[in-house]
Amino acid sequence: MNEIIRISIVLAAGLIGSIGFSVLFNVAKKHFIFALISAAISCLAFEVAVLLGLGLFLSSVIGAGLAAAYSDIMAHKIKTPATVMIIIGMIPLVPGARLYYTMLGIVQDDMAMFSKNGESALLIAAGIAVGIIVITAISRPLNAKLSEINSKKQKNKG
Amino acid sequence: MDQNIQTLNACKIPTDDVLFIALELGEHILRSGGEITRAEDTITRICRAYGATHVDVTAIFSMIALTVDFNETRSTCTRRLKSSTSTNLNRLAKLNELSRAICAELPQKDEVVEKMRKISSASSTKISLYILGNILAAFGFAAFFSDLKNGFSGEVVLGIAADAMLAGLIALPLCLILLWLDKIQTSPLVSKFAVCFLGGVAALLIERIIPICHADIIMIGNIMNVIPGVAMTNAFRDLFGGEIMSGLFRLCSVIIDAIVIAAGYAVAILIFGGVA
Repeated sequence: MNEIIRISIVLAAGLIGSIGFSVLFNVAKKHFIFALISAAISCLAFEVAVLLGLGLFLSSVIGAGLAAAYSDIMAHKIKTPATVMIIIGMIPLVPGARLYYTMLGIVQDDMAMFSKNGESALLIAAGIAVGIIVITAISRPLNAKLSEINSKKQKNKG
Repeated sequence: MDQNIQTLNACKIPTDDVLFIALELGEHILRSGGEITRAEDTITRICRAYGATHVDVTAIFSMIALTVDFNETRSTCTRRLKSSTSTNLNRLAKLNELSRAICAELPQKDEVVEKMRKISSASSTKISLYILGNILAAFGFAAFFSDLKNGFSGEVVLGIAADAMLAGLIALPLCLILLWLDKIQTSPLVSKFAVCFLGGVAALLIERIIPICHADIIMIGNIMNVIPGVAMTNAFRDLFGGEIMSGLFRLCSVIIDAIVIAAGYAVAILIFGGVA
């Protein structure tokens, strides 16, 4: 029960931050809600995966992958680049605090803090990239195939 | 092939203009935060729509090189790009719409230039929104990351709320300073260093004055505004996606940015003799 409350607070805070970045990156009003849903998906999936003990790398792969899959699907429906939603979706996964503690480790000569946080930051960053790339690798040929089928259908109709 | 030549003849656009339109779109996509592959894809589509028989394009961080064949004549051109990019997702979406329209309607150069000008002016970020975004992001992520430090339990909630609000409060002068430094054309690295140093000093001063606050949480909230998180993700995406050149460029610039940001906060922390 405590975990549910904790995750909802984290999610709410992450969403406020993502709203901030959506404003900062000038997301159009009509795309705002779709971008925020992408952020909510990545944030929630990451927290749940960490809670299930999947580790930081796998959790960020899952978080980024699910948000990227959502973005790719929505991109077709609302006819806008998937990047708009992917960028906002990745914001709550960016390991800002871990990078800060890595720096603090160097400044305070605390090698344990430095290596622990530096490692997690790199794992998460690589995990985000892998998550997006896996989805892109699946969706690109799929999209090409779909548009091929669509154009054939149109030709047949014509 | 025959059909392609006909299209080119039908719309009567000089090859130079086609190259100009394609490169203009590509440049603006890159500068609004679009991926390399998106820019290359757009350039290829536009050239093909105007009747090119062969298109070969490669883009890196600061340059686009394009070779196009029209009716057996081969043209090659390169365009140097300003390396500064600011992520503007509204502009990116509008450019995407424009490139679809160009492929469908094959307009003249002047028409495209006019439309690009309209997009640029309609989608620039307002300063008030820029400030609001900075404040919200600092507030949200200070609260978000305090979970990592001590979890959310009853007695620390007050401290967290105070931290988050102060992080948002500090974000206001910091982003104004950043805007001003940008305006007087300070080197981006110097302005980042200055803003991080001032942010660190402000957070540590607040911690000394209000003991329930945590300087590190306030700093983390403000770090999120300058951290090259999107660039880092893009660098890895480029690298894994086979765009080694631009991936390496981006990765180097991300690392340098991160070092400068860390140095700014580190100097502040060293002056104050550590974080409580």
